[in-house]
Amino acid sequence: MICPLNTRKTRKVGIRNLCISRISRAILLLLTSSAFADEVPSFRNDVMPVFLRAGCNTGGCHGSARGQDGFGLSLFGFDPAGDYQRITREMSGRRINLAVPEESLLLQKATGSVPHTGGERFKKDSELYATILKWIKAGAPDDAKDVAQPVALELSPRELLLAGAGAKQRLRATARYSDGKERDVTNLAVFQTNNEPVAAVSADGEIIAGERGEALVTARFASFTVGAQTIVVSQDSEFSFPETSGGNYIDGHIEAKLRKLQVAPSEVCSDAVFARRVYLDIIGLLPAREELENFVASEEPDKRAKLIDALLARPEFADQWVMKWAELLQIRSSNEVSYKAALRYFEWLREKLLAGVPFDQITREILTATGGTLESPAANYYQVTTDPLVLAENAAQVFAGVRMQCAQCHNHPFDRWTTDDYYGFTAFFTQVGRKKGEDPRETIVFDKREGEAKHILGEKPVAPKFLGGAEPEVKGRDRRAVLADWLTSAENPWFAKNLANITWEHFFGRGIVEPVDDVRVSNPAANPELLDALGGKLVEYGYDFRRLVRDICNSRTYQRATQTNESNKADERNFSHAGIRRIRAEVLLDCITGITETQDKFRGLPLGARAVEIADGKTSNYFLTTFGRARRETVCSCEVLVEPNLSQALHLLNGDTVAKKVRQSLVIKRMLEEMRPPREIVEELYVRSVSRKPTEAEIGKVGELLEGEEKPKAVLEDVFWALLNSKEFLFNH
Amino acid sequence: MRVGAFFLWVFAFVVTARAASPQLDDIRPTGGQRGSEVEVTFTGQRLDDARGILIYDDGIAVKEWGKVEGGKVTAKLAVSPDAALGEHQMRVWTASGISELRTFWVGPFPTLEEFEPNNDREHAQRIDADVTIAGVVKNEDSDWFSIDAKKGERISVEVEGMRLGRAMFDAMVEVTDTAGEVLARSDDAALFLQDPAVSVVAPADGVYFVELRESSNGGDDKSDYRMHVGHFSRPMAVFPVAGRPGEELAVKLIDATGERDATVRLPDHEGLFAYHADGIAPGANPLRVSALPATREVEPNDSAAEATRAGSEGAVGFDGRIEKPGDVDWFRFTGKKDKELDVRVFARSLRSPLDSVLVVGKADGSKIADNDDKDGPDSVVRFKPPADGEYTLSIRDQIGRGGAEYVYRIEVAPVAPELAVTIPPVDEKTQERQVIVVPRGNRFATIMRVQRGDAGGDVNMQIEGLPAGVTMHAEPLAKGDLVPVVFEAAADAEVAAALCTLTAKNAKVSGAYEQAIGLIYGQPNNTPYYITRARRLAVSVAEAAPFSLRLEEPGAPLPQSGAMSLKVVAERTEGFEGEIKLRLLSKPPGVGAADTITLAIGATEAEIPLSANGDAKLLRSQIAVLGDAGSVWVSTELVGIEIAPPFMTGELQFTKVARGETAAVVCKLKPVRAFEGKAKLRLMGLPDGLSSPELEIAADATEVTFQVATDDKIKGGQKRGLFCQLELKINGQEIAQTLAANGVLRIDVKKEGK
Repeated sequence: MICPLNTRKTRKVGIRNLCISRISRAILLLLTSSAFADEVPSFRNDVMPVFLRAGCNTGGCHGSARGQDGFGLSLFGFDPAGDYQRITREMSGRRINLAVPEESLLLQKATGSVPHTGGERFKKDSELYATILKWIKAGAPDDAKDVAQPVALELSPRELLLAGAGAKQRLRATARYSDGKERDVTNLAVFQTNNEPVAAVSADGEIIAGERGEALVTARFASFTVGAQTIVVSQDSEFSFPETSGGNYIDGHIEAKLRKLQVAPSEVCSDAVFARRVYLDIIGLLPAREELENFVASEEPDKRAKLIDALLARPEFADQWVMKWAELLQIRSSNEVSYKAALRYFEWLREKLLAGVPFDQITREILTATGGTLESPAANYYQVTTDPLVLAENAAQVFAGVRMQCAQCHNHPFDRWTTDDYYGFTAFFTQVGRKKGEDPRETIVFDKREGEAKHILGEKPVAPKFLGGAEPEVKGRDRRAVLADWLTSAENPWFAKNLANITWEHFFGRGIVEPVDDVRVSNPAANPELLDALGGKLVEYGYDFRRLVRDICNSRTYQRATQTNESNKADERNFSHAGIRRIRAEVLLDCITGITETQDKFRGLPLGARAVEIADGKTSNYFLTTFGRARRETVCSCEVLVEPNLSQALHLLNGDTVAKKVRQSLVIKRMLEEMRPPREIVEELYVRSVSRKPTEAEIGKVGELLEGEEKPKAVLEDVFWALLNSKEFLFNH
Repeated sequence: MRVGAFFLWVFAFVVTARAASPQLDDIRPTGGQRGSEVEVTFTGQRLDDARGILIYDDGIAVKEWGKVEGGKVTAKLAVSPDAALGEHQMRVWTASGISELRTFWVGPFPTLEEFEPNNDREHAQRIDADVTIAGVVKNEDSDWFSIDAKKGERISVEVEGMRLGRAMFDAMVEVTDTAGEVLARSDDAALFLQDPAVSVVAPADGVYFVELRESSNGGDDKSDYRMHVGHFSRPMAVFPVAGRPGEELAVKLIDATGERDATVRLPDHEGLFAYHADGIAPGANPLRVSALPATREVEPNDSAAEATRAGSEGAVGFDGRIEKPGDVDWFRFTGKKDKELDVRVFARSLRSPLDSVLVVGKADGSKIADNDDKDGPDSVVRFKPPADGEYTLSIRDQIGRGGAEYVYRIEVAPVAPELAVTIPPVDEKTQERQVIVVPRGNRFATIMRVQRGDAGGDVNMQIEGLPAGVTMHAEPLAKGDLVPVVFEAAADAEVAAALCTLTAKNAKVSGAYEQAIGLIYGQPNNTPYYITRARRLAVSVAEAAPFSLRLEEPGAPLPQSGAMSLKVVAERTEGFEGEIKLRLLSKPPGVGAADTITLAIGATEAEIPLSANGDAKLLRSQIAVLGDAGSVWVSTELVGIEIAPPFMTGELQFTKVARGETAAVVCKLKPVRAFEGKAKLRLMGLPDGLSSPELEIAADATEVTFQVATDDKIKGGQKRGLFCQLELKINGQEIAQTLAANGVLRIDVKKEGK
């Protein structure tokens, strides 16, 4: 039974039915008063939820921008006033029939009693039907202006552990309203699962366990979406978690989750594998033979920690992160950003990261950037796009990991964001002034102290409002500074966790929230406790993410092998084993160039500079483009492509990068001149490329090729080429 | 026949090639020391008949004329010891014309060549103090120099890169110590646009390094620079930045050592004064010379209540600086009711880094008007005081910067008329037709643009210093801004060239000629990066051209919605048969004509069709026709042309006709302007296959009917776009005029069986 929240007298009925004859009005009054007591359903709180629950206002149906079959509703009900207008006023008398409410087209279509493209949405005996009928019978009244608004949605339980297929548990959704009242809305909420085989959910919120794994079950009501994390384990397995020792807080959180999932993590990887991995991840280079051998031979118990510290102290560490942030900040020359300005912007970022300026300060400098784009390079942030809407979307995505784009036109369907949130956040960027500088390549960015965000509904100005937070006082201040204060404060719910997640993703190839820039209710963190802990640490470290990197690399979790066991072979999101990651384009090219001892030339950089140092997103070469170098045209983390494809394989096999570099390389020639035996040369090539010595079988095969060969150089070059084409080389593992 | 044509072509070519205008691409070296003699090569094309160098400013003279061959002219230039430091403009003139303007830079120090390799600290080129290095930054090149300095000595570096006007070369400079520590870095200096300037005090005795490179690691073979390096004082600003004519102005020079006192003797006339500190600083600090009484700011003046009050009533110049970030300076001045005032900021125009925002307010400081960038980044507010009394103004930096160099002058003065004159560019990127080359016994015409700042009324053009035998003809400009001007050289004028002083004058004020010449263009959209300003007009008498042109005065005015042709007659010298391209120097407002009309090989007459819009302005204006055969340009004399109202207007009545029958299309006429005799009236715009005989009408006709016969093949339906054309001849001038537009003829087709 639906319990209408809003009690309302039926006084409007008579007014709405003035055209009806006195007799029929008398009958109607009699009906409403006798059959439905004095409770009239609220349009916003009772009727609109029916549209959501029955799927009427989804994008595929009447929620489409153009409506459907001549009838439009706002998508997921973001515009109740508009929907009321369309139902009651548009094509007057067609959609609702106040004289004979049961014959209202709205009900006839929804029940399928007249032809309806969407078919039957609910039955005549359903509560959904009853609510609408009752509302129409009451004269289809609009809500009073002060009608209570839902302010929160709660789901219980929030975490479920189900043992064995077929296990069931029911969810309960409760809405809280602005007048403090609560209401069970389980029968009005829309339930969805993101993993049907693991946890299916019925329309009324009952979860039925399937195979082992985890799923998120969400409930949506009004503009709220909340999720319940559901883990399904085997009912009768004899799982025992392996003994572990050492590690740090990261491992505590990771392993707690693995225990729940009954997943045993992989072993810790070998020293050689660790060295290769940590070199690639921290400095984007492969270990030199001597470095590798010294490390492996060392018997110091904390040699891994020492290596991590040594690598963190190298300038190449900063280069990796300059590149990553240059992608997120879209440092790229364009019609609006001259090459010089792009270069200045990149140099500025590099200087900051090399100097170890904490990231909250860098963010503040970017957001509040003022001045000429050549003189104050951070001001280029406001040249990448000049549209305040896009600026707000980008800032939300890059600094908070939140995608607001949907909420520009309608409330976010799978998240909490409403159009009010969207335009409130946009209002931080509407007072950015720009004018031409004296240098034709320069734009002066300044606070013009005027300009408001206009709401999509009615164009009314919207006051600045933090994401999911308060409406701050901005009078007399640069709004961007107010935003930066909030974003970089220790209490901010997004910023530190987002930075921590971006950092984490670099070392695992996958964020705790994945993708890293899509934090949303319906895309929860794989391990929220870990994300909280990492965010907290970052704040504790004063936003020195170098220290966070140290924690990550020192964790047992990071140092696990890629080899899986029976229980974790299917795990893709709980970090129970290391991932096999294709090395990203720039690092791969730098590695090939490094081990062949050749040189590359990029625009504006001296001969021999590394690809990770390229300032301009527009500068590329065939290799980098093929291997998915980010073009930096959007803030999306998806710009960097690490998925292998055919053209990459063909380029490695037939293209001129590898073949040419092997030909140009003096490595083999030098070793032959030093009269080193072929076996030793082969060993050197293996160590250089894949950070290990060849196996006896491999040595044997190469030996066959070299046997009786008068010109071993060609064979050795082939070996070198083959190694650079091997998966073992192309992947970080 | 073919052979004949071939010879004709060769001959024509020879005649044009003989008289081709010169092109100047470069002057090398790019500069020299004052008080020295410099062997200079002028490189370009068509310089073989070079006669001399036109040098705009005093202080440089051609001492010895060298060789002229292969597109090169050499000359020994004597740079006098008192020659002004900085840019000197020059052109090469030849028997057939005047080249583009290029520049030569005078410096205070001996010049020395850069020598490679000097690409890093280890290979830095050793230099003494107070030298000028002439070098090139090739692609991704970096030039290093090392210099000794004692503790406390300045190390000053100033680069002329972009300003040399040779290439899009944006230099940057870094001064480092022996340990590699950066002491100073300059990319763009507010004082010198994209060119860097830097000055530091040596912290200890030792060797210091100066690195020069392109700011985006670019560069190319044309990226020349002149870099002055030494211990000289390089003030980044002077305060105050303005004074009165003839004044001994006590100033503070803001340089690496802080601030020091100096005295500047200002010239006796108002305007800009290029001040070179100690007579040595290679680049100037511009100062404003103004007769207004000056008031200097007195800090604190950060609010209306603390505003510095003008020292006198009425017009005043305020001098101040935005001393620290976030500073706002307030002033107070008096205004008279309804006496309009201009409040102008001079900051960036005097190369101050300040990006001013000016607010003019009431006595209590409440805002009346404000401005950010009306004059470049400088602010201008015009306002009419609503009552006699005190007013305030405040100034700040747009992005809240401040410092000792953020100097400014604000002038409050009654609105005064101003005039200036320039030649509108024919092509933004080249200097085409910005000089006046008049072939002996011939004419050349140009359009001049008069920029009127509150200066109405007739403007007359005056010129001084024309070569002997040259005269200038222009009618007074009553309204608008464009004046056609014709120069004429007597048949016996000697081949000569001169830089002339051109002025535009009205009853109250006279304005000088100034030509902004972009020497460097770059992204985005070919924007000028470096502009030099020529203040005299180059005029020469060239050798006779192989043709002259005459424009026949039209026999009658051109009616609105009308068309007629201008007749141009070419007189060719014997043997010259080449094509001549004709174009109108200017078109009266609302009049259209083809951009060019070609007078074919050997032809002597051409017609230039003109057409006037229905709303073309009813006025009489002067036009001339320019003609060129290759690079020889001549013009006709100025000829008057008048735009008159139409002869008549009319309206075509809607007409319908059954297919196969004859339609009677009625046109109602309304006479506007009388003509003598009869005119022809045609019905135009009929669909293919239909026609109507032309009619003859008199000036007072009020209605005519056109018979339009249709046949069975014509397609039915509404035919829109019918109109009438009136054709008549007045004083031998054929004129056409359209009227009665948008007529409709409906052809009805009977359906079979109905």
